[in-house]
Formats: sequence, C-alpha cells, structure tokens
Amino acid sequence: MSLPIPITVIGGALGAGKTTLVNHVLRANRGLRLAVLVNDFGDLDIDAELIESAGSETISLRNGCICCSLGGGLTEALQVLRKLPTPPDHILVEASGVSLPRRIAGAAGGPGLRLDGTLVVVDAVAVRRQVADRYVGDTVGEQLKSADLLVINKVDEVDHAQQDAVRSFISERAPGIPAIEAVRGAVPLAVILGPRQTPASPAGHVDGTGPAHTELDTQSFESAEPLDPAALKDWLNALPPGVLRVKGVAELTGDGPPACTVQVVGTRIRVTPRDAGPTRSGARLVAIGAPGSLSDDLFARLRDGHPPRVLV
Amino acid sequence: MTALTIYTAKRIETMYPYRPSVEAVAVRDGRVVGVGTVDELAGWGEHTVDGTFETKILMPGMVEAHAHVHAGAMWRWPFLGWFDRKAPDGTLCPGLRSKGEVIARLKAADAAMQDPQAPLIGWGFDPIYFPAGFEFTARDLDQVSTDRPVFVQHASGHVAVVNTAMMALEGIGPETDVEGVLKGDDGKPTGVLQELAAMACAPVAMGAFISAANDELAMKAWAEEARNAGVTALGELASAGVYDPAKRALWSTVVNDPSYPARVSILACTALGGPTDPADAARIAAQFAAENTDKLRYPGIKLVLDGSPQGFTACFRFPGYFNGAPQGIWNIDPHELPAVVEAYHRQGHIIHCHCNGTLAVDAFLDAVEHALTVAPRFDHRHTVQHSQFTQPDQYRRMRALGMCANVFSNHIYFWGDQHASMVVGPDRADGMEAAATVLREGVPLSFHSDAPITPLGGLHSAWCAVNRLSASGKVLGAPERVSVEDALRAVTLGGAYQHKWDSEIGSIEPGKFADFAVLDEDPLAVAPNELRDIGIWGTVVDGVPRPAPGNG
Repeated sequence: MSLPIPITVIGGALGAGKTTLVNHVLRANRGLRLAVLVNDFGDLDIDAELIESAGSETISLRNGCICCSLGGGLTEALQVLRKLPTPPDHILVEASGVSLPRRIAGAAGGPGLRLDGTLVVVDAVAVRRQVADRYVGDTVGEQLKSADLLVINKVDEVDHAQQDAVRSFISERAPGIPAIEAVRGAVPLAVILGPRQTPASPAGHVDGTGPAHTELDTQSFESAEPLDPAALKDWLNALPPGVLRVKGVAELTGDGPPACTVQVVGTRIRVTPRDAGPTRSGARLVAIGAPGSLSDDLFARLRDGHPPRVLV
Repeated sequence: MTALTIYTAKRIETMYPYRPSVEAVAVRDGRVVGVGTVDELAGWGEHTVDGTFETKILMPGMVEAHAHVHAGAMWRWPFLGWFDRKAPDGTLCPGLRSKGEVIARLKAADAAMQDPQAPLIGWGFDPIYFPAGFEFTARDLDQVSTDRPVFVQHASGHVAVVNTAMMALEGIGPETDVEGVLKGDDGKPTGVLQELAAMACAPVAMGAFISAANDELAMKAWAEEARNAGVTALGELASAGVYDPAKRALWSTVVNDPSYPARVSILACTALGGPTDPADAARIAAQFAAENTDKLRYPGIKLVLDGSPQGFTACFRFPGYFNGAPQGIWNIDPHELPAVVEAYHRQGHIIHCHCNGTLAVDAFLDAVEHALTVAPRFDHRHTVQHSQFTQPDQYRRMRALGMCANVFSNHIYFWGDQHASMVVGPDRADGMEAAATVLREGVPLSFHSDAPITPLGGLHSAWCAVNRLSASGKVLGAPERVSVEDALRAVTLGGAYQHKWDSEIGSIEPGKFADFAVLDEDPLAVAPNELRDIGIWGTVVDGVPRPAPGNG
C-alpha cells in the first residue's frame, strides 16, 4: 500500500493572505505534484503559460500540479484526488475565511490520506480588529487557537512597534503555537510541505526549495542505534517553541512496534508505528525552525536519553 | 369546453375572504371556477356533482415552504428505528426492539439484494431507546454479512456503524487517524463512526446517500409523504442539485408528470455544488425560470448563513449560548454577504437565507439593506429562513425592508426543552419562533418543517405555533401563541407568498389551482390542541384526487 497523502489545511480570516500563500507555493514548488483545493479559482493568480488545461472544476498545470474547486465538497474532492492515476504528493486545502480549521482538519483524514497539519494565516495589519469584530471575532479567535502553526503575514505593512504588539497579541491568543513571519505569503516551502527527505547537511540553513524570502534554521540528528520510545516521546513533548517542523524515521527499542515515522507540524505531533524499520538502521530526524530559533543542543536530550544498547 | 366538476364536502374552509366557509367548489381544467353552494355553482352550466368528499373537510392544500427532497431518499433502504413508521407507500415498518430484530431485518434485506457486491445501508437505528450500556458494533453487523459491506446510520444522522467487510473495502484500520473513528483496547476500529469526518471514511456508503439524495425515487417518495400530510406544494431549499442540467431535466420529467402529486418550488443553492462566483450563480439560476411550468417553479435562491441551535453552531448576539458554547459557525463570511446578496438581488431572485441565530439575522438584514440601497427593488420577498430566535427589533427592521419570516415552529416541540435548558436559557426560549410578534410587526409569516429535520406536515407546524408545547409538555412563551386561523393561513397562503406563488395557490378561490388538503375533521372546529391529530385522507392537486395509501 502506498503512503497516505499528506494534507495541509490553510485557514485564516478573509484577506489574511491564504490565496497569496497558495499562489506562492505553486510558483516556488519544484518537482512535487501538488494539489490545491480552493473555494474560488478566480483569486488564484496562475500564469497562463503554466496552465495545461482548465475546466470548471479543475485546472491542470504543466508541472503536474492541479487546482480543484471545493464547490462539490471537501470529502468528494479528496476522494477524487486520491483515486487519480497519479495521485498528488501533497494536498493543500484553502479554507474559507470563516471556516474553523479544526472542522476541516477533521474531514482531512481517512483512508489513503493523512492530515499533515493546520496552518493559519494571520493578517498582521488587521488581526486585532478582526478578533474584536462583532460578526467574525469569535471565529477568528478560534482559528488562531486551532492552528498547529501560524503564519503572521504582511509584517512589512506594519512598523516595528506594531509588529511587537501583534506578536504579543498572538502569543496571548494562541499560546504555545509556533509562528513564522512572512511577507506576501512567502513562507519557505519546507515549512508548508515539510523538509525534503532526511537531511544531507548536518546543520545550517535549509535550502528553502525555491525562492524563499525567509531563511530557516535547521538541525538534524542521526544515530546508528535505535531510539528508546519513551525518550523520543519526552523529547517531542518538550520541543522548544521555535521548532516549526520535525520529520524523520527511527528504529525503536523495546517490545512495541519495531520502528516509527515522526511528523511534527508546530503543535501537532504524530508518531506513527511502522512494521519495518527504515532502510538504514538507527534513527534520522531533521528539525526546522524560525531563523535564529534553534539551539545547537536541540537534540541533546534525545541523545542523552538513549544510552548505548548493552548487549548481554 | 371541458367538464365542470362540483365537489361537495362536509365543509370547505377556503381562506377566500368573500366565501371563507362553503359546501361546494367547482373545478374545471384543474382550476377553481367558484366556491359556494351547489345551486350557486350550477350557474356555470353543465356540470357533474362529485360526492367523494361528502364526509370530509377540504382546506387549501398546504404549502411547505422549506423542506428538502432528501427526506424522500431513505425509504429504499431498510428502516431500523425503535418506533413503527409508515413508509410513503403505506407499508408499515414495525419498530425493532432488540439487536436480534435489527440483524434479522438487515439479513432479509441482504438476501433480497441482487448484486452481491452492493453495499447494504440501514437507517433510523436509535440506540438511545435500548438499555444503558447497549453496544452495537462491527461485531454485530458481521452477523449480517461477512462479504457484503454494511453501513447502518443512527437516527441522529451523526453516527454510523459499519461491518468488517465495509472497513476492509474502505481501508479503515488501526492506522486510520481520524477523530470519531472509534477504536477498541486492541487498537482496532470498532466499526463505530462518529460525526461526518469519520463517516466520510466510508465514502462508498456516503456516496450512496449523496446520489440517492435527489434521485427520482427520492423525488417521488418526498411528494408521496407530502400527499399523506395534506401538503400540495413543496419548497426545495438546497438539496435539488439544479445547477446540474441533467438534474433539472429529471426534475422536469418527474414533477411535470400528471401523476406526481405535488407542485415544487426549487430554490437554487450552491452550498452543495455550483458556480463559486455569486454573480455567475445568480445569472445561471435566473435562466432556470425558462423551465417554469404550472407544477415546477424556480423563483429564487437559498443561502445558508449559520448553523443550528441544537448543534450549538447557530450564531447569536450577546449574551450567546446559555451553556457557554462559543458563538457559532458561519458558512458565509458576514462581511462578504452584502456582495453575495447584491449579486442575487440584482438578478431578480427571491433570496431565502438560513438564519437560525440572532447574529445571523443581523448579518442578513445588513446585506439586504445594502442590496436595496444600491439596487432598489419592489416586492423582492427576501425571507429569513428558520428565524428561530429573531427579536422584535429585527422583525421591525424586516418589515421596513419588505422582508418575510419563515418560522421553524416545529422546534418548540422537538427541541424547545433543550433550548430552555442549554441553548438560550428559559427566558429567551419563551421568545423562540415568535409568531405573534411577527404578525404584530406586520411581517409576512409562514411555518415549515425543514423535512427531514422534522416530519413534513403543515398541521403539525401549525399545532406547534398555536399551542407552543414542548415534548416534555411545557408551554414555552404563551404570549407568542397565534390563533388557529393565523396558523393555517401561514401554512397555506403564507408559504405561497414567500415563493411568489400566492396568485395561484394557497387558498381555494376562483382562478387558483384546485389544490386541496382532504381532512377527516375541520381544523377550525376541533380543539386547538388536537390540530395535529386530524386524520388526513390525502390531497387534490390540479383537481385530481390523490388519496393516501389505503384511502383509494
């Protein structure tokens, strides 16, 4: 059975920049077959020469990506994508401005699919007004709280004092949820789609797999030994706030499953059992974080928490 | 000249102001020629007197201004409920009181199916009536079949149970990571799927529901249920699927068939598919009117703005939910609504907007006010649908904007107790479905069932508005009671008005279609609390008697 297709839900209030972010992903993408589900094609700004064919429900791009209308319903659209002759590598679902991402995320699972995480785009200019709005205030507040990862967009449109005010407002409204700041939705693709494979370079900057306006911190961990599941769990539950994503595979000690896949998207932590270990034994993890946020000893506890295997 | 038939009845309550209560009605070519005495009507010339309804009461065929065709979809599958139910064709389906009975009915259905691969669907199963601790899981359904996928939906619609074959078919297993897919201690799914996201993990069964929702069988069963309830015109408010030309063609074929026992007014709705740009959706829906006939109409569109009070998803003004639940769910951004409403308004549509909570009503009224300011229009009849907790200031504003209210009176009975204890608290619960306020403030009024959410039937909706009794027997908001006359007017002319059909239906008067409800007793003569118990023989549509099963 093929691996389930990861789904990223992109939420946020009207005008926050969800479509801009989707447009950015489609432009910056190199080599992945992406599917994006949107409420309205009209706002998608796709260069004409990129379009292979356009129908009323779908637009196919030359690079293998596909854009679909959500008009017929999310569940139906996801099933159609899953059953394509060549299914997409990753699905982005753009929620409407009043959707509660939690509800969409609930539907973005099921056979052959895997919810990767929920990104909520925040309008740095308008968020404080939106949260106080008579009609949508509760909804916007709920969107912030239900994010796994926040993208604070339009930071170039506010001055430094306002940026600080927005940061503290967000950390008050959405405590503990990692955030990355962006201009015109330009978030490095590694944040939205996950780091490509496991890392080649041990530390430093991730190549943003495309023209990114923000650079990222990255740290990686490689061990020839299996990990102690309890130590892994402790480490994951104590990730510092700057960590945006962790991805990897690990062989495990103990009587449980022999190996696992680790997927962290902001506050969403998933350790999925695997029947077989990774092709190479041991464990390999990579973490990415907002610039300047990852310390060199990020993996120290994991390393310390797993004493070398003693053979008797 | 075609034949004139004079129907006599024990009494005919016409809602025609010049002859409100008569003994005879003359019908030619499916339309009412006159009402009065047989002698008066004989003045029209050659005629036959038809005494079929000699012991019956006739009133105008009731107009259900807000229901859904998927109410007719379920009867093709085995009914598994606790209480006896009568199918639209008159078949009695006895209630099931044990696990063994449920399994036996499903086994019988399994044996009757031709295609061994087709999924078996059951509905109406209601475990709340079984003893505490009762469990019904894949293990039970595996007794029905280990080969055929089986899917059983609870009566609430929020939970389903599937068998092991269905889980294998859909790939539901220990690794399925979806909220609501319940798992046992062994980590394996139990087959119980809670809420839509989990049920969506069985797309084969859900797909069967979706394609059945507005197919020919559903359309027919829906109208049969209407006939059995004395309803002669149905408003379809979101499930018709009419942005699909093939579906519209099917509606035309089915409804225009003279044997189809109801008129249908379809409001186009993009919530379940259609153009995403409101201007496109408005322009395309305006073209549907070219397919209007005497029996099938396309007068406008439907919007769905908020959720439901019993689901705690309706959007309320301060002070919000009595149990502290968050504000609610918007399906359309209130800040985008003015532009959406304007697009449909400019195309001449009647806009019916689902607004359960008070804040949703405000948002819709803001949007209509905007549309009327930029594009003034007379007689638009934009309607607040459900209008469950709408307050007096909002009804005054609706009057000023020329709007209508279709009030969900059935809620008083089915959920009134919950509205008092959880949703809005006892004080505001007394003000729900405020029909007396609607009339006092001069807003055109109708009542509806929203079938299948509550059972289709104008007499029941009227009974709720007249008596305001909850299921536990409490009177909720006595000052909002309305008279039987006003309630009956709301479920006839009131519904017709909101679909711009009142020139042709909604009363028994010269020139209108000969559409009658045929009752055993006179609704204006029985005790008001017996209104819903009146026996219904069937209907007359287009002058043709349409008896309910057993009355032919």
